[in-house]
Amino acid sequence: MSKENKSKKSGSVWRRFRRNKPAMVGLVILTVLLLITVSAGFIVDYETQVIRNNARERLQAPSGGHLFGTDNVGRDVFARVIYGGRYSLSIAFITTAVSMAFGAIVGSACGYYGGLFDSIVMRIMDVLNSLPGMLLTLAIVAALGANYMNLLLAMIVSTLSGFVRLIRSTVIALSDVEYIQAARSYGSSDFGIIIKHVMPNAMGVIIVNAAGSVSNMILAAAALSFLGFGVQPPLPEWGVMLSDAKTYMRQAPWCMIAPGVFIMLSALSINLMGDGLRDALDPRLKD
Amino acid sequence: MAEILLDIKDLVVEYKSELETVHAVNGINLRLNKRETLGIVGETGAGKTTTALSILRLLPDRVGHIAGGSVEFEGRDLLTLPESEMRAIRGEKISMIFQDPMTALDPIMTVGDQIKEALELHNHDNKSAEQIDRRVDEVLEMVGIPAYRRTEYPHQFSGGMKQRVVIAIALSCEPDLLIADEPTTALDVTIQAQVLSLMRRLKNDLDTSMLLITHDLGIVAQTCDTVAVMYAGYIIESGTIDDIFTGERHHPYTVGLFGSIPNLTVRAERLTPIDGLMPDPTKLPAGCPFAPRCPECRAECERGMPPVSEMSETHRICCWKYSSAEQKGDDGK
Amino acid sequence: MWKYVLKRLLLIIPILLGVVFIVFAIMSLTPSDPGRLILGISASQESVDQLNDQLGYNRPFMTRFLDYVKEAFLKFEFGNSYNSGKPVVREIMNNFPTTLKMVVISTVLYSIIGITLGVFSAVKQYSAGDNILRVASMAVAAFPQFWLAMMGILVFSLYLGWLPSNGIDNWKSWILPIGLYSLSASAPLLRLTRTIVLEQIRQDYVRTVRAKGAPEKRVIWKHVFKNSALPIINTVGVQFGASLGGMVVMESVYSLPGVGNLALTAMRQKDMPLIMGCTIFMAAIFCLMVLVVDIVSAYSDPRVKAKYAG
Repeated sequence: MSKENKSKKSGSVWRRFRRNKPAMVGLVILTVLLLITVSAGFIVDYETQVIRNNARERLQAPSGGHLFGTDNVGRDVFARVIYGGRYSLSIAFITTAVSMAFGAIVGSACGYYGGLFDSIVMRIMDVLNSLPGMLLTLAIVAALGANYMNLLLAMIVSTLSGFVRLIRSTVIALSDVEYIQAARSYGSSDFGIIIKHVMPNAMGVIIVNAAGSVSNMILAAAALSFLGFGVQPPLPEWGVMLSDAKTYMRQAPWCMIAPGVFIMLSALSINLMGDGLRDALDPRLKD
Repeated sequence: MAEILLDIKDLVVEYKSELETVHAVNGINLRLNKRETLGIVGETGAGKTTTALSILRLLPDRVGHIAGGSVEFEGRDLLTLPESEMRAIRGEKISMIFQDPMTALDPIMTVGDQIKEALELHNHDNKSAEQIDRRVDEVLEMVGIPAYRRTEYPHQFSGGMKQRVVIAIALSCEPDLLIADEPTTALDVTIQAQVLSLMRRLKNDLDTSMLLITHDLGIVAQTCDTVAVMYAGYIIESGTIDDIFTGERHHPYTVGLFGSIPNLTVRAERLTPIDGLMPDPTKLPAGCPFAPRCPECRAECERGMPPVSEMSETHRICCWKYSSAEQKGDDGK
Repeated sequence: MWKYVLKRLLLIIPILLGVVFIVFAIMSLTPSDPGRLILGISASQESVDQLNDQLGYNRPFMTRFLDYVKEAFLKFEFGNSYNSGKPVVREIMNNFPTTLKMVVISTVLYSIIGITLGVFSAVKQYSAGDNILRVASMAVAAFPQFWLAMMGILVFSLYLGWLPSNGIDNWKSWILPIGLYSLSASAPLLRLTRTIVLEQIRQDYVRTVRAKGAPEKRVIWKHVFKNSALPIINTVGVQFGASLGGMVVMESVYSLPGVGNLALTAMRQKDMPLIMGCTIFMAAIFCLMVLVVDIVSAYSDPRVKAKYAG
C-alpha cells in the first residue's frame, strides 16, 4: 500500500465525514466547548468569580450580570460552568488516550503472540471486567482519597480491560487475513507487521470505540464527582456543581440547568462525531 | 414460433446516492422464450446481477431504482404490478438462485423449514401440513439431498450441498422462470459440474425457462440457447448460441472475451485479458463505452452510442463497425 | 452441555478470588483505622489500637487476604459490618430486594422500549421516524443519569407535586427511579438494536427470503429479528448483571435502600467487610449473568450449540 493510496483513503474518510451533517454539528459543538474551556481563564477571574464566596449575591436568578444565576454561596454559575469543562473533558480524553495506548500495546501483543502471556493478561482483564458499573472506580477512589488525580487513575484502571479486549480481538481477526500472512511469509518483523499492517487496519474500530469511550467517561467523571468520589468542592467540576445544586433545588433550580446541559452537550457532540466516523469508515457505505 | 416468456424492453436501472448516480443498466432489451435458456455474460460490474434483481424487483431499497423500460412476463409488465401481486410471482412464477450459497440461507432455520416457507407462502390449493412436509422431502430428494437431513441447519452443509438447498427452495413451487445468478462461481470446480448438470436436468424435467448469468463461457456453451453479452450496462451483442460461438462477425469486446473466435474449439476456456478497465459507471463516456479499450476504435466511436445492427434474424451487434453501411434510417432500436 | 455449564461455574471461582484480591489490595493501599470506625471518635486511642490488633489489622497483607478467603469461600462467613455491627450477609440481603426489584422492572421496560423502537428505526431507515428516534436516543444517551434523576425530582416532586422525591413510601416512589433509569438505558439499547438489525437486513439470506415471495413483515420478524435477537439478548443479559451496580446513582439520588447505596456508604466509611461483601456479591451476580447469557446463546444458536453438543 503506497503512501499516496493511504492519504487518499484518509481523504475520502474526511470527505464522507464532512458530508455527515450531525457529525459536523458535533464537531462544531465540541470545538466551541473546547474553545470556551481553554479560554475560560481569560473570560472570568478564577479567584473572585469561580472560588470566592459572596454571601450578598447568593441564589440569584439568571440576569444580565449573572447569565446563569448564582449558587448557594454567591458564585457565578456561568463562570463556574465554563471553568468546569477542563475537569470533565480532560479526564475523559486522558482516560481514553491512556487506556487506548495501553490497550494497543498489551492487546496487540496478546492477540498477535497468544500463548501464556495472553492467557495471564486476559484472566486479569476478566477480573477487572467482572466488577460491574462503577464499582471498581469507586473502590479505587475510596481507597486513595477523592481528588482529580486519583479519579483519573481509577478511571484509567477501569477502562483498560475494554480496550485490551477490543484491540486483542481485532488483532486476532486481522492476523488471519491473507495480507498479514503474506507479510509474515516474506519475513517482516513482528513489530513491523503490527505497526505497519495490523494497526492501520484496526484503527477504524478503535477510533469509533474511543469516541464512545470519551462520551461515557464524561458522564462517568461527572457522576463520580457528583457522588463525592471524584473532584472535590469548591472546584467547579460539573458533577460537583450539581451535587451542590441538589440541596438548593427548590430555591435555585437554575443552578442545575447549566452544568447538566454542558455535560449533555459534551457527551452528545462526541457521540455525534463517533457515529459520523463509523459511517465514514464503513467500507460498505463507500461513495 | 416459440412463445415469449420474458420480454425486457429498454430497461434502465440506476443506483442513486447523495453524491452520484451509478448507471448500472442503460436501456437493455432481452427476450426469453419458453423452455429456453438465455445466458448473460460479461465482466463483474457489467450490470448482469442488477438486471436479474430488477426482474424480481429486489433491488436494494432506496438506492436501486428502475428509471425506465418494462419487464413483461407472460404478457404483464412486472414493473407496474402492485407489491402484493409481485410477491405472488416471486418464488412461484419466477425464482432466483444466488451467487454465494454460503450466505444465501438463514443460518438459524432448518433447511427443511426454509423450503417449507416457500411452499407455505404459495399454498393456493390449501395443501395440508403433511402434504407440504411430503413435498419438502420430495424436493430435497429431487436435488439429491436425503430427506432426513431436512432438520439440519445450513452450517451442517457443504457449499455444494447448500447450493442444492437453494436450488430446492427455488424450484419447490415449480416456477416458470428460474434466474440463476452465477450459481456455480462460489463452488469448487468438481462441484460446479455436478450442480450445473443438476440444474439442467431439473430445468428440463420441470419445463422451466432459465436466465443464466455467468462469466464462464464453457457453461454458456453447454447450457444456453441464446446469449447476450453485457458491457457497462449495455447489451453489445446478442444472438443464438451458434451466432455467438461460430458466427463470423462479432463485437470487438466479444472477440476479446473469447480471446479469438476461430480457435474457440482449441482453447475454449482460455480468455485473453483485455487491456484496461470498464468505464466508471458514474461517468459513462458519451460514445461507445468500450471505445477506450477497443482495438478497432474509430472517430465515430467516441461521438455517440452505436445503433444496433441486425446481422441476421437473431444476431444483433451494437457497434459502429457494422452500422456504417446501414447507418441511415436506423435509430438504434 | 452439563459438563460445559459445570466447567463455567467452576471458572467463576478463580475470577471471584481475583476480585477479592484486587479489592483487598486496593483497600490496603492506604492505612485504615477500623477500630476508630467501630468505637467512634470518643474512644481512647488504646482501646482503638487494641481492637485493631484483635481484628488482625496489623498482620501482613497476605495473611489477612488468605484468612479472608478461607472464611469467605469455605465457610461463607463474611464478617460483620464495622459500622452497624450486623452481619454483612444480612445487610446485603436487606438491601438486595430493593435493587433487584428496580433492576428487573426497568430491564423489562427498557428492553421493550429499546428493542421495538430499534427494530422500527432500522426497518424504516432514513424515514422521518427513524431520524427522530436517532436524534432522541442520542440526546437521551448523553444526559447524565443523576441529572435526569434530579430533573425528575424538580419537575414531578417540587413543581407538580405528583411523586415523592426520596425513600420508599408507596408504589409511586418507584416511578421516578425506575422510569428514568429505563428511559436512560433504553437509548443505547435502541441504538444497538438498530445497528444489529441493519446489519442483518443487509445479509444475503434476506434476499433469498424476499425472492420466495415472503411479505416484508415476515421477512423482518421471522428472519431478520430472529437472527438479531441473539446479540441483543446477550447485551440485555450482561446489562442486567451490570445494572446491580449501575443502580447506584438512582439509589443515591432518591435515597433508596439498595445494594448500590449500601456499597457507596461502605466505601465512604472504609467499612472493609461490607465493601468486600458488596463487591463479591455484585461480581458473582455479574459472572452468573454472563454465564446465563452464554448458555442461552448456546441453546438458541444452532451454530454455537453444535460446538458444545455432547
